[in-house]
Amino acid sequence: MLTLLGETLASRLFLGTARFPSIDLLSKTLITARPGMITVAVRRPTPGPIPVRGFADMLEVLAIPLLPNTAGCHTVQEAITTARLAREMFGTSRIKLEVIGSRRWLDPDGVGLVEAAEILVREGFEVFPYMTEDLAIAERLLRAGCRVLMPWAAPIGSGRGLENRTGLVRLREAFPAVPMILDAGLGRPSHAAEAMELGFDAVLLNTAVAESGDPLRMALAFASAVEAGRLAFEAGLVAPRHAARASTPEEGKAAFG
Amino acid sequence: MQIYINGRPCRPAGETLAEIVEHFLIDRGDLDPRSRMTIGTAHNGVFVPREQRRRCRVAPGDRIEILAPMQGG
Repeated sequence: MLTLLGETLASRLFLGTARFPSIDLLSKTLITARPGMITVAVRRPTPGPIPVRGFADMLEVLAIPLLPNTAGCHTVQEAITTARLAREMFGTSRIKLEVIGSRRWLDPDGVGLVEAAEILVREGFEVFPYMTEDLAIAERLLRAGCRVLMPWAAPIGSGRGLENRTGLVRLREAFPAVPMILDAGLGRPSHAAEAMELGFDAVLLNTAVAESGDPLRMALAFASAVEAGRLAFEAGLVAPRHAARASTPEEGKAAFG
Repeated sequence: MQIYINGRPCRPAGETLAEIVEHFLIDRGDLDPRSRMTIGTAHNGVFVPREQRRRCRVAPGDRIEILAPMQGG
């Protein structure tokens, strides 16, 4: 269980809903893994009737808290317009704010992100900023009124895990009271466990589950890893040592020589 | 007069955004009233709330976006 911005969520695993082989499999995965929050998007409809009975109906039935995104937005204006659309369409003021830099790396544009966050917070949005581990940008986002931070682990869809572990540890330590969700670039359940062991409050991922051979089982694997990592963080990990130290006490050992 | 709906050039099927949205949906064979409540609209890059579509008049060259909820990451 996680309480985030006053709301109690079922899990510290947040899932993206894209790239699943079918709506049916997505639905089964969400019902089984029961993520704390799911991300959704705003796009031009495909030909034919608007798919209300498919995706939108599924969202209503499952009633999992929604986190709409501004995926693919490269300018502040695009991101702001998309956020305003999403608030009306999904009925939530939460927004996963993405202002993307390069098309190759899909890296967060920190300057644009801060500018967009300032505007959206003033309009009453609860901004979840997709950011790098940059401490100064984090500070500016918090000053802009963000109450949660969402640093990346690695480029979106890369599955590379925590590429800058040291930077993420610094970020976590710099703002211990701020809820942080590690987002993007996780490829394996062990990556999720590592993030939780470091004290991140939740993880958000999509591709690693949706494109696995069996999305439903992979979602469960991630859910277990998230729980294990969080338990370990709460229990307190022992510090690593350079040399060995016997687990079994030397005291009382027999002398045979 | 020519306008652009979701990037495609076309002749507007009405004078207001509300009329254009209605024709857009009917042309796609969508008569479900819930679709009218599900989609979102923008006019020349600016978000137009549902209740303001009737007051939003279109002019030649205008860019209209009619958007739907989709799966996203």
